[in-house]
Amino acid sequence: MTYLRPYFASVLLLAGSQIQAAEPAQENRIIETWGYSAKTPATGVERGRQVYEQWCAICHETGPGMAGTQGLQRKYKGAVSPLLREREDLSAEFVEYIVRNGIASMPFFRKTEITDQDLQFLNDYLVKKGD
Amino acid sequence: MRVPQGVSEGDFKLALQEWAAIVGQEWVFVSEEDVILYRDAYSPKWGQTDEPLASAAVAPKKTEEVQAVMRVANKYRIPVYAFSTGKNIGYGGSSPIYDGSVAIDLKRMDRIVEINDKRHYAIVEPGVTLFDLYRAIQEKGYRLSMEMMDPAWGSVIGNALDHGCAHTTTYGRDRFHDHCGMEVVLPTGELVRTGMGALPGSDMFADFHYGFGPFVDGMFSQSNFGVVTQMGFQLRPEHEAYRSGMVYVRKFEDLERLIEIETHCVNSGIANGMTHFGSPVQGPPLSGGPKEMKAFFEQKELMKLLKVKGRPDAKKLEAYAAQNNMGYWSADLKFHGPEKIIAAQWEYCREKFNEIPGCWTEDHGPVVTFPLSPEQEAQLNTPGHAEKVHLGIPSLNRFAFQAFFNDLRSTPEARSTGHLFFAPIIPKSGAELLKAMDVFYDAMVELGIPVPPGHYGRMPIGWFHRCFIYLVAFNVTKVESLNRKEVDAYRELIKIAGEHGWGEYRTHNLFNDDVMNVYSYNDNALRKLHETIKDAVDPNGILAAGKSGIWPRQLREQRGGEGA
Repeated sequence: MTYLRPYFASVLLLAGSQIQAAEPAQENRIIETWGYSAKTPATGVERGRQVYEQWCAICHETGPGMAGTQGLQRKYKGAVSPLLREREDLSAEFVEYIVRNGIASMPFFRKTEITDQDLQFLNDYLVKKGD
Repeated sequence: MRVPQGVSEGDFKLALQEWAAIVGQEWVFVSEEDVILYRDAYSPKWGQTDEPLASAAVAPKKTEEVQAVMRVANKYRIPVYAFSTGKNIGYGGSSPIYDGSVAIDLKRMDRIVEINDKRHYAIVEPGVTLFDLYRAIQEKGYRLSMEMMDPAWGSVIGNALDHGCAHTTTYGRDRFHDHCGMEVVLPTGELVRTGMGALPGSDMFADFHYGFGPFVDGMFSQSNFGVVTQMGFQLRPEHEAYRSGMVYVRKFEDLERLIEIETHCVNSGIANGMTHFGSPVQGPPLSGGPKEMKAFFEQKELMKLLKVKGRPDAKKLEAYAAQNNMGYWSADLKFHGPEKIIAAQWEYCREKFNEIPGCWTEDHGPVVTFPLSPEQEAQLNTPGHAEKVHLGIPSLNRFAFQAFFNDLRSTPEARSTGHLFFAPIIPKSGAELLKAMDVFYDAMVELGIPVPPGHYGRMPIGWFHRCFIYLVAFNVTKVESLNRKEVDAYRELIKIAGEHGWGEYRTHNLFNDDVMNVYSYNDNALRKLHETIKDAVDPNGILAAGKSGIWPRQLREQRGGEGA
């Protein structure tokens, strides 16, 4: 099997759990992608992590070609972590503002992409509570 | 609440209620804070009074809901436009062409209907992105290769419908050409399947394009003749390996032969990946990344040769190239397939290129084999190694390039926040490319568009393998006066290109009329045919007014640009 990066693998397990046996003879039919199926599988921090992996990690993780991470490195010059998931200073209001307004080249996201509920879950994951 | 043009408030409220009954109240968006999210994030008309904006949005989950939504739009004659994921920023994103239209947002239709690893295809809905399909293939453990573009967060279907291109194989890069089978909701709400999908009980939706009768699939690309709700796409068995090879030639005059031989190798199927042409003494390598680009511009002696009016002195550049062991021109060839076979393909190409006196070739990065090891994957998107997109792996690497260029172009008063490319198709010939470089240089100077050093080294893209796409980058900011100047200049470039027989293959929402106006053979016969079809399939003229310059009968006076 082709190598999976860890953050891919977790999303994929989710997708796999949603495969419906619409036509039992063909197990490869109908794969609900991670999003808004009737079987939405998680809430809270876990759903927030999934939202992060689907929408944020593709630009804000480690490794080459991550424009979001590179941009935050240029902006803060190491004063804070360039990785969103390591940031200690993010507030829910700030995350919501950026998701709905965009910043620099990062566009904003519609509510069919990240629902208000998912945005709250994303904050459950990203915003450190100080505990 | 904003009411669409030509619709009474009472009718609009009734339509919103009926749409809510179909898709659920939570998936009908009317508040300003929700609807503003449908604007074009990179709009060159940002904040201007004539920026086209949606009045509301409806987000169906199933084909049956799309049908019902269209019937309601017909009942109340409400202008609507549909999009898949809205991620084609730079082309208009999720915004309408006709101001005040209601968005039909298909993002929630995100099912992968089938992945077939024996017959090598996938059938998807419009909300499925390249990342989604790739992840599903990996999760299932299928040994399949996907054609890939970057940024890869857009819709597989939407990209193909807008004639988007991948960066991978010669036979698969043209994404619309690589599809097989469509399910389409006509503007009236009627459901059609093309090809074998029209035969009830057939399991060959994505195996055989034609079925029987006229091949109408093309009607639904870059058009406003229907809402595509499913498409089949060809996949390939996992490429066992990938390699890339550089070809360098020494003389200015070598360009013609370089392109001729590359075309021979590509059109015979021997070089089966996407070639990147370059000019190492005139421009930074596109495959290198921001650091390499910066390093290029820091060559002071070379910059003196390049920062001149018009075409740099070829003899001086040849001398500089010889002193520094650089090519005047280069071609980065790519090969996909079993390791032994692509080694032989590369060897054949090397021999062909060696017919050019002074030519030399080099392997470009290590051979990549599949399945990738973690070590191999970690090297991708780094200098000297393959880009993920060339291997069929999704990424958003292009945004890193964009950030680099945007920083270069930004000033304290006007930050570059997006991208906009003028992208005409030109013939794949050295002479014609040199002519295009001159024509666009002169035009950019005349129109006041900054011409970057390295203009004569910015080579065309070979997404469509039998022609070139010549890219001119525009600067998008949030400053109205600057954006207006860019838009005006863009319109002029469309006309100038048209005068030379070059036309855009795809364009931003703002320029549909301008581009269609240059495709004017025989008194605009093609546009008239489009309009005839439009009137037949969309009798109330409700769907996506203005796409590709096709306006419904009641709105034809909206057409813009000369030739309207």
